[in-house]
Amino acid sequence: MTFECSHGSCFPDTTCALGHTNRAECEHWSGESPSATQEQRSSRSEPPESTSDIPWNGYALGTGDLAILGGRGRPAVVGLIGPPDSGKTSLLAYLYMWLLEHGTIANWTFAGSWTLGGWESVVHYSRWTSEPSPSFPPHTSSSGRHPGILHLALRSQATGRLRDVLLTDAPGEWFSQWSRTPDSSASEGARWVIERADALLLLVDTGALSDGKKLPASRRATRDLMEQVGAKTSCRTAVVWTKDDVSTAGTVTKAIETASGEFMPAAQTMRTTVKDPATIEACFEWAVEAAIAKSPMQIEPEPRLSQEPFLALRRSYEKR
Amino acid sequence: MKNANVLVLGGSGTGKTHYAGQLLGRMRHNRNGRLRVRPGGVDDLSKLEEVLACLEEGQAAGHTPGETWTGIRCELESDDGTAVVLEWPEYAGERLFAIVDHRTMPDEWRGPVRSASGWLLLIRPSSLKLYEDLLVRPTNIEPQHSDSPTAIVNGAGWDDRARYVELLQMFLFAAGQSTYEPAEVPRLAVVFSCWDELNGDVSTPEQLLADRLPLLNAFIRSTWRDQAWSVWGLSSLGRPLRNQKPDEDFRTQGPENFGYVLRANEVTQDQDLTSSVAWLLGV
Repeated sequence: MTFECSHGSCFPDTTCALGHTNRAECEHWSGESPSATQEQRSSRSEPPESTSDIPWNGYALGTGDLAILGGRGRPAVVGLIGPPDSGKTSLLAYLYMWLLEHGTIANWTFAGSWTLGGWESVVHYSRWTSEPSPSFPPHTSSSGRHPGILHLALRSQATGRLRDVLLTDAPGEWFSQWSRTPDSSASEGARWVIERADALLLLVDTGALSDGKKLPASRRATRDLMEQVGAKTSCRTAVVWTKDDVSTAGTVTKAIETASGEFMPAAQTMRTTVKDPATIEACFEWAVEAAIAKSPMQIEPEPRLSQEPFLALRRSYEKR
Repeated sequence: MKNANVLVLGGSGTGKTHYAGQLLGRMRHNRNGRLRVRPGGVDDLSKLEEVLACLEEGQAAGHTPGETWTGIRCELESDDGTAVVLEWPEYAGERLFAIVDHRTMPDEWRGPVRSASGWLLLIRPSSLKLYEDLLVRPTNIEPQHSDSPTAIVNGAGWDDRARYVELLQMFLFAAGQSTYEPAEVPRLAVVFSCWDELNGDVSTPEQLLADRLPLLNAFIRSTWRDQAWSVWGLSSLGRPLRNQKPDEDFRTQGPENFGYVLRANEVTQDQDLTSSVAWLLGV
């Protein structure tokens, strides 16, 4: 008999969502056969004696996993958007490589991550292990590598506060589709990113714009995206020219700058190149600061009224 | 008498058993250290029989068998007269990272995690798995996107900078310890073992942590209060021992005369192997 959990937020590789150490004691755990539509839910051939003690599986988060972060305040969401192959995942890979080497992003110190396995998987291709030579991560497609959300906990060196930051790693096709038909059901993933982001990094692929063959499609995709982002969201946005070591024709650059100025007049402009990783750190420094500024968390601690443990319970409230 | 458990977090080959043997030898036979065993204060010496016998003979002890899970209980007294009952676990190192790889915390860890007064994290610098990547060693040719199918890298394939962070995160969770504010308890001692293998390449333990494990360094500094964690260098034996060829100095002088620790910012060797444990226990 196959056992399964009917709770929508419960997954087999993490703890029971309702806190049962033994899943067999949970009302949602039953011996009925799982239906084909419930593949995502927990199912095992026998009920385990105990579940994992760990509520995160280490890999990129899906939207159903975000509940584990809710206990310590609303996380700041940084959305990375751009046409296919504009360098979104590579930028995330360099951010993680930077953290491995430095432990900080400007004045924010690394304080943990629930998705270290996700980060490790992203940089896997960029390491000198054996043949082949290191490369950039494979193309993230909606049918290939599972898009996901990567997490960082960062502690401010200035205030000592801890903030959770989520960075989206989604395929460029999502955003190309969304820029053409933003309300269609096929654009749901891109909508999730754009509607929930506290700060957006809109990537412009300098490499594609300098390649005569790719130029027309890339210019169109970039300008379409800028127009929709400008119309649909008011969150702080930066236009990030990736692969900035490649030179682009002045007319092409001007066309993109004109679109940016017209549709997204408040957007910041940044340039990154892997030849100078500090440019990538600066890009994420801006994104983290902008996202956190959008969802500030002012802690209002209650005064301690008693030394008795029960009466001394204090909480910090998020003032919004 | 104060009871204190030390949670020793040491992976395979980090020198956990040699340290246990040398620590016990120091506390029993060298009365000048910060911690001493009260005469007759060890409950069952047979649990460390093999390593104690090997050290007396000047030989390296063998690998702790995979099924081993035991603990040494000894009554200690400190310089200031504080009496402590110390519980020191002994297990095969591969059991530790099996927690990260299998993502479950077995029963035998749960009690010690919650009751430990301090955690001692043993890291052997010479066996760290640290990958070079495009950030630290760029290519001369323009990298392309990989054509490989996307892999999910499991725990065993992670860089040790991430692996040690994940290990501590999992233990903090199992201990019910919030990381929202930097922790005061349990205390954490990061101990770099087999320091003699570094041949003077690194000046201080603090520098080693910052230079070779920046991600772990940042995580610890964010997660523990400054006074609640420390970093040490350790050479339990002071020199490499072999399985077959006995070291004559060990045989004639006794193992309690070998080995040293280094404090976070110091380069001078301190012969008192009990220092880091005494700091952890707050005595």
